[in-house]
Amino acid sequence: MTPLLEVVDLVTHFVTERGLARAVDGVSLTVERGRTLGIVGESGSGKTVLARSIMGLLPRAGVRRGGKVLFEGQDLLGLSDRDLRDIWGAEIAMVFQDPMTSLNPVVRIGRQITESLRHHLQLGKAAARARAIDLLASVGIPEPARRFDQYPHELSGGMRQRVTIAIALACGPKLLLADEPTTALDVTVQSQILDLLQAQQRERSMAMILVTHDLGVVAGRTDEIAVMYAGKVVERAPTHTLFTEMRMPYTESLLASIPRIEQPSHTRLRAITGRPPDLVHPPTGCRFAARCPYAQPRCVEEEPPLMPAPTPGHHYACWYPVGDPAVRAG
Amino acid sequence: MAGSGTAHLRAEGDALLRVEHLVVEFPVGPARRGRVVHAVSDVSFDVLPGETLGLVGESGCGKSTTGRAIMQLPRPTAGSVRFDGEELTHLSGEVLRRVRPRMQMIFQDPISSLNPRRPVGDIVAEPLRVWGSDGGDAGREAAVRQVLDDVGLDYDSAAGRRPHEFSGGQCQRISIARALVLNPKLLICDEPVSALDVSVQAQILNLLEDMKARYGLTVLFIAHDLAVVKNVSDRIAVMYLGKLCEVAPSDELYRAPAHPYTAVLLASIPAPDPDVRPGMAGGAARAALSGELPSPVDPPSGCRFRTRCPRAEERCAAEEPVLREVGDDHWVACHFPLGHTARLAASGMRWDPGGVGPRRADD
Amino acid sequence: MSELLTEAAAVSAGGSAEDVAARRKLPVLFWVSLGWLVLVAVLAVVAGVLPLPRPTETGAGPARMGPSAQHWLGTDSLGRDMLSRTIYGARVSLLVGFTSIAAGLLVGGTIGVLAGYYRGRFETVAMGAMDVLLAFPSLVFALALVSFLGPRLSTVILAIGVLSVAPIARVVRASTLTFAQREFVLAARTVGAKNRRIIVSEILPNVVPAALSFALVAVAVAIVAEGALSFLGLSVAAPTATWGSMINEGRTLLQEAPHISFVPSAAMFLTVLALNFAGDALQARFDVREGRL
Repeated sequence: MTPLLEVVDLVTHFVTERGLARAVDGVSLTVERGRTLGIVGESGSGKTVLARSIMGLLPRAGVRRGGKVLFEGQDLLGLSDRDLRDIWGAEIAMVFQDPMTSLNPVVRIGRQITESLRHHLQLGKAAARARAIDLLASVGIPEPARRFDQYPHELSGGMRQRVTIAIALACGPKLLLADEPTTALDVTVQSQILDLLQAQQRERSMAMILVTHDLGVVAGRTDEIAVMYAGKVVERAPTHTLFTEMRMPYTESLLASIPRIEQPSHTRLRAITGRPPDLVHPPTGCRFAARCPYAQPRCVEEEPPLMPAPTPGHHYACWYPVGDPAVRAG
Repeated sequence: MAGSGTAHLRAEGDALLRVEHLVVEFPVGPARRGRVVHAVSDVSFDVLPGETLGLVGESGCGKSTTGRAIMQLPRPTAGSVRFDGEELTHLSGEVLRRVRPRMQMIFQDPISSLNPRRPVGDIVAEPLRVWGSDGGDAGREAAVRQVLDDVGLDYDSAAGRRPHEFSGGQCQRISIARALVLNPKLLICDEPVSALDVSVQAQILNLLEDMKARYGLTVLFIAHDLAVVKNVSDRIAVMYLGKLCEVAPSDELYRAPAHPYTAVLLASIPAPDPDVRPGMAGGAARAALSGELPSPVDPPSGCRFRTRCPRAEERCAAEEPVLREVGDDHWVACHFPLGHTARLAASGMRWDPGGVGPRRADD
Repeated sequence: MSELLTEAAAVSAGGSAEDVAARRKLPVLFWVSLGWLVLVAVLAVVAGVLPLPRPTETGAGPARMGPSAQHWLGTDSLGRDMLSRTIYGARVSLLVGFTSIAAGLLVGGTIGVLAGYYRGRFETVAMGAMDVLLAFPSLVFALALVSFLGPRLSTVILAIGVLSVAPIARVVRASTLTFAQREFVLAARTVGAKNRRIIVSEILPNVVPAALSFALVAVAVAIVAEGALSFLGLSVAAPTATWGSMINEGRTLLQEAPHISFVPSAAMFLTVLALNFAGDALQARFDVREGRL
């Protein structure tokens, strides 16, 4: 059986006045039905562009693309906007970072949900309304019938994000793409929203891609994690393996930079120095080399490919991986 | 939660900043209806010289308003703010202006807090110009060069450029430089890292610790993320809906949270550890926080947290809890604080110290 | 989508100074527009020393004649040289346009900045007054003013200047409001900067570019307004040449000598268009990119 989503060597380059910005530079991923993939990286790592490239949400002008996005075997990159519209919402849905800007401020939230129900499922007005109220209830919105007639500004940030999730779930998509769904929210609300996403994902046996900059967000909630850096996937592994047997120094640094509540206060954090490379003129060799505490001459000369680790399903792109005895000897 | 009271304050002469019975209210709707937002209601705390006090709570709890009220921007509705021996709330505009350089502030949005049209060198030199520093242009340039260097930016390449040419983390460094250039005693950081990526957040947190040491700062650190607050703070005050819930030394607060709300906040922190299943961790406490934040226009009677508190009883609605000591310098405003066993139950295995992530073998 | 573009821009950010300069290059259209405006302005200024007949000299050539070697743009119904009249007309149009808007910018801009910065009662009163001004029928106002003060250049400038105050004040206030709420203004206050200093060094650098590009468009409107007034005979008295009065004079002769109306119309059209293009280009140029994190 073909996987639900197979991204093969995806390339998204933006034409800028300075040259080509290689935002996504040869990314391959697979998401099986009902599984959850976390995509983790800093701002500018290309994770958001990757998510939008998968959706086909990028403008055609000024964008060079390559590779394949196979959704149930069909290449989305080759589809017209019109065919894509039949897939958006019905097959693949997306939840964005900022619920205030992804909701239309002048349209009642009920109508924002029924719109896609009526378009994709051809439901009548009353049926769509009933379905929308059910959806609002299922995403934990109290008094859904009253909320149905309210405008986005009448809801709190957390409630708004629940509404965008309800909209995304409306037509029962097979894949949900959540791009930093909790970054704009408070910690308590964040955990509620992540719980909600997880519960819905399991209940509907829907596949989910969770894009975030915070490893803490994806730790307990994904089956597999892909770590992105400067437009490339630099490590990919089942979640548990990634946390216990990470090989890529970048992953290690990302994890180390998170302040831990269990550490005594004033514990010095292991920050990653510097900033991500310029994607118009990426460095030769490993793109992380300039910030890597373990970099060696070979790292700046030769780019490490994504190579398999001994642990199953684990790939990494590093010449001197974490935990390799040879490295510590040298 | 919701507590008032001043028992937790330390000897008056010791504190650099002492806030007592601070009240900030904003009118809402038509003035004649007289409805007000109770943003901050009777909050008291103090900060000793060289100390970092963390003020933690969710959006809408009044923590940022508190920070600004200390700066007298705008002036609080009632209460006292004593800073460095002076009562700020009574000072006239000009006298207050002269106090300002001694207390500086850093804001959440690194882009919005820098004037997009001015070169970075000008932005950082502005406080010096306002106060007509000695040494003229050359002296100013030297001071700006020094402070930019301290925050990790190179004067020659940075000074002539505009803020939009910098990343968010670099903009926050520029904000810090501007705040430090006048050598303040108190630095109020209002969500300084919540707009940043974790990797950049760590850089800025480390930088703040370094600057605190180098400039001999006292810090009020306001944020919603308890893990971040704990990393930099000596003492933490937890706020909910305009009131203080709990005040304790950082490690004590984490080890033995006494207020149910603090327990919820602790349980909400995403653990970067796949063995901690978030669905289970602190499940009891989190389930309790299902409701929405009540309106600050019409806050609940008694304890303001009672509407979402799993331990709430009748007394909580009738009587407002006052901060009282439950441990060594550990203060809580709750009629039914979490005891030691209850604390463990509410927290699950979630904050069992030792569950630190994987490390390099040579680490 | 804009979010995406900024992301793309952020991806490409971190460039050198030349990159920034390249990114902010003004379009060719701007330079063409500017060229036209400069040409018109220079001609208007040096009109006196150009080898042209006086604009009021009747019978400089045969009446209603089309363009010829002696009279490049032809002559009007009284045999006056159209080129000369158009150039002298530009004097009036540009003078009225720029002076009235400069005055309007000074008054309206000041009101707008103060209202947007200080808010409170001043804002309520000032903006209320602006609304009254906007609600007042502008033609009636101009008519009343001209009949009271006489059809002089200064009257026209005063009328258009007063009428431009309200729209400028509103635009400037809106722009000031967005910046006054930004944290860099708060930061300046925490440093101890006084209000005047904050307005001058934090607010104005952000508001002035937007106000200026709006003013360019307003100048275009003012030129058209002056044309309309002189078309109605409410501007500078004859025989002084203005574009509006020239169009009016040619109105009855559209059949036999269309160039009499067409020439001043074209001059006005091109000037107004150039002002609009220049205003838009400047607006885009001054729109500081505030990239995401």
